[in-house]
Amino acid sequence: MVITRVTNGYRKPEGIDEMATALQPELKQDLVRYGARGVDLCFNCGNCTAVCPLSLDGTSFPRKLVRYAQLGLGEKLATAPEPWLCYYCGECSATCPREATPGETMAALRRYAIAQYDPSGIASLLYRFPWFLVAFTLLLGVVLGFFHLSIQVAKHTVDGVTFPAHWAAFNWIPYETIHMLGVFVGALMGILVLSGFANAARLMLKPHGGIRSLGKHKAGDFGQAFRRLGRELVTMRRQAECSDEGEGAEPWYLRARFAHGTIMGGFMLLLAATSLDFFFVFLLKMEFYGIARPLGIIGGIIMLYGLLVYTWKRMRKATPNTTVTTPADVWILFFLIVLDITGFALLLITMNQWQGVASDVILLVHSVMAMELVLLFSMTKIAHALYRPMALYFHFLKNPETTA
Amino acid sequence: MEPTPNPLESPDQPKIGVYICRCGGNISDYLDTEKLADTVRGIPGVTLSKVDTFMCSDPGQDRIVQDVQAGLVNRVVVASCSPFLHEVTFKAAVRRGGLNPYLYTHVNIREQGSWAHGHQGDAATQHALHMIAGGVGKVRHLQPLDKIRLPSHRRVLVIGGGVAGMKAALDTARRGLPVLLVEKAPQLGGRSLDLGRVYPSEQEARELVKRLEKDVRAEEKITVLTGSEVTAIGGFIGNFEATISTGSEQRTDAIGAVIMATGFTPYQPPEGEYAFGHSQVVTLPEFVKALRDMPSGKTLTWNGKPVRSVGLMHCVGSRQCEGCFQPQPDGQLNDYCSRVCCTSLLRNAVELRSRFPETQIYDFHQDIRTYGRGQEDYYTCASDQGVTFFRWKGEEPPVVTARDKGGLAITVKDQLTFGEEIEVPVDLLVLGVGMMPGPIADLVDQLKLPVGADRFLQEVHPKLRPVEVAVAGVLLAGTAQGPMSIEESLEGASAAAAKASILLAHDYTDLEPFVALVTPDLCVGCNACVEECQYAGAVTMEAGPEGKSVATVNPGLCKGCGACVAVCPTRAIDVQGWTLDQFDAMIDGMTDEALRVPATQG
Repeated sequence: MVITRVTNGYRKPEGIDEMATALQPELKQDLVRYGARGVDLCFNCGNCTAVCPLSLDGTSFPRKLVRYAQLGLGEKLATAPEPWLCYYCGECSATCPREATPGETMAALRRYAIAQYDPSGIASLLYRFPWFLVAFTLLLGVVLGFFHLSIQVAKHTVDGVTFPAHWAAFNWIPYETIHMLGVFVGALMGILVLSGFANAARLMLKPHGGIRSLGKHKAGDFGQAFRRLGRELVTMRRQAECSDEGEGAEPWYLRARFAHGTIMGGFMLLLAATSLDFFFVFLLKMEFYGIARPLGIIGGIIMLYGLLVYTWKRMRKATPNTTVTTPADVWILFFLIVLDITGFALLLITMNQWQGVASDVILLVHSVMAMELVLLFSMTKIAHALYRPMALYFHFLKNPETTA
Repeated sequence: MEPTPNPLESPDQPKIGVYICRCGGNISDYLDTEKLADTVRGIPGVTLSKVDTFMCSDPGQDRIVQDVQAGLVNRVVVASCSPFLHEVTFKAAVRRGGLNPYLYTHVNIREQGSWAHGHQGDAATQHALHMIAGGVGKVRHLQPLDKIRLPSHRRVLVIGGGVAGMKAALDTARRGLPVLLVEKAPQLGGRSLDLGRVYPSEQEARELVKRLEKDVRAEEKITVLTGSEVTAIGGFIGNFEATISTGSEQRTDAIGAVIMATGFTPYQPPEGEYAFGHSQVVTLPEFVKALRDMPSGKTLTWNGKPVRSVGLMHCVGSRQCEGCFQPQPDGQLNDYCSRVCCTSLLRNAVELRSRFPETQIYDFHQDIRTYGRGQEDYYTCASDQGVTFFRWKGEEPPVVTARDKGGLAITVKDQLTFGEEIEVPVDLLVLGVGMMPGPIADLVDQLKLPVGADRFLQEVHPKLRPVEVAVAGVLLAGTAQGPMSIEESLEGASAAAAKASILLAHDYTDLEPFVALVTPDLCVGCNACVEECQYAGAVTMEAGPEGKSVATVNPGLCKGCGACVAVCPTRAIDVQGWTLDQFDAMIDGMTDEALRVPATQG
């Protein structure tokens, strides 16, 4: 007997149509690789959503996302802005009666989202397979290092220090080729970041009806949402809602919001310093470091402070949001700390005009790692700097009345 | 039990004692109990009236005992709570005083007085006074009564040889009563024979059956009749007669009590319900049996096809919503919960996951009702083993379709996903069918057994008399009464066996004397009472003196309903303890306009 479209045999219930979302059982296994290990434990009680200080005003998480993950509803997950609205205070994981670590699931879904936005597919491999993360980083480092060593460096002056010709390990590649390759790599990075950004916007707008849905808003809404986003980025007020801010929490200088602020602030100062350097030294050809250097030093110090706080918290596993540390977390902390420290080392080298193999190695390490970080910017954890503001912007746009 | 002659029991010289209870304020905070006592004292025949804070307490009861012993009263009225609570208490006190306990009337001035009309002040007290006056009127006309004593056959018939029937037979026989155990199938064990391991003990069901059967067969007081059926049964407590057919042979047995262990039938879905009829859709009992006899492996196979995913559907034939499913022949849906399907489905989910680790499981439920001891563990375990749960609303059951590429698709408006529609592909769908009563219409008819809205046999009270039915001498064991697990069936069977043993502890049975009694001189033999009576044989026409027909009551069969009293043209028939004279007196008392409580001053 063949039954084509039944049903419970008596009456077809109303409202069942062909638009049902199909379950993807395979995806669940994949999400485990991204770090969503607890989803199967969830029995959908909703305590996590109830305690979440940020699940307000038209949003509902983490349970909603945990459920999508449980069913492997890939499209729903890829288009959800909620992972970016979460600041991972860990209150949900602490409250979960099944110890299903919803907070960790949200973190895993951020990784999943980054992988979905990334057009190259590399991010997905980086997050799912730790061996690939290590191998790819090393390989990229070798390739970048190779080009670095190929540059025939003549006697030259950097920051007022004169260097002799050095490290021309392979001088058989013409400078132009290498320069072109450098431009090409830079362009590639630009393309990756831009297409990742565009993908993210396309996906996040999908549940609302795509890019066209933006047409429904009044011109003023965009400006208002932008102002609110700006305020949020400066104050991180949403993060202040998180539970580690309350009574009985750690001292203010150890809390996530402060540590994050120092890293973000340090990053901004270093960016400002680099821009000033570029402006004065490269464009105006002036040997002027009076502003850039102090800014860079302050930025480097406060960023290092934040990084060390984060590392220390992860080592202690003191809070729910630091109990699980993925290879990607180690990777980013390692890169930033090494870059920060080698940056200071380079400063000392330049100021004291130290020369020798050690100085060259430090320069090589700093340069290669910095280039890797820039190249992989849209794939690593720092990509949240792109996607979180975007999600927040759409959130503010779609929920104009919110005060949060 | 010969009635003890007592000169004080003459209705001509009533000495009525009225005892009014304050119920610790439950009554006296709203009704003026002292005024009630004062006023009641003026009613003719009332010799004393007293108020006590707790009449049910030992000192309260002792007042009655002492007053009766002192000869101050020979009729007692207590105005207190509901007779369901303390009628028995005060009747016993009356007996302890040396008076016939049926010379007692209970008036409820709490549930029907202070609690209902507490805000109505004097009017409520006046209302209570009239109720007491009604009780006084009735008690004045009461006659001493004695319980009806009937000879009993000390032998129990157990119908059904499943686990409940075997357990009931064993427990009864071990109390010394001979048992006749009748089973329709050629072997004992019933539906448990088709089960695998069963919750919560995880024992093999067939092992359980084997153990029970071994004990049953070893018990010499049990006569096992397999391949047999009770084809006719009638009678009353202590005196049933059952005809049992075994093949072409028939036997008739005299029985004192009957234990109904007739079990259940699994719900059979009509073709098309959840795609039932499709080769990859199976009911839970069929699946359990097949799973039991199947070798384990990586992936389950069904009909030669590998099964990567199994859907488990809860509430098939249970908790059905109006208009969603095909009703039963009686036009009704099964709106009750079958109770065992949830745990059974989850138990089998756990077994599937451990025996076929590469087979995924999707569970579709309205609610998960793993209500019993150890049952929630199955849910936890299934959840830990990666079973994915979906929850549907009763009025929106999932829709099952056959997919073009093979297998089935279950579309569910999943409440755990905020009512979004999810389509779940499965290769096999197991329908967790519920329980329906067994085919026992003939027995129900012959024994006049009460049946509930769910068509199962109905107990008198689910808590206070859980295995008795309104027909005295008939007891319930197991799923004849409603859906229950093996554990609960065995508990019910033991309870029924205990009750049967109490009923047949002696070779006689005492019944309440509230049955119809005919005054032969007044009877004109019109047969109206016989026609009106619902209980076959309770009242019959017998030849009386001078060749006239006289209505005659069989006190064993009469339920004291009074239907005959209403139709008798000559007031020749009356229910003892509730006679027409007593009702008249009661109404007179209740409507006595002259009887007034003095109004409260100010």
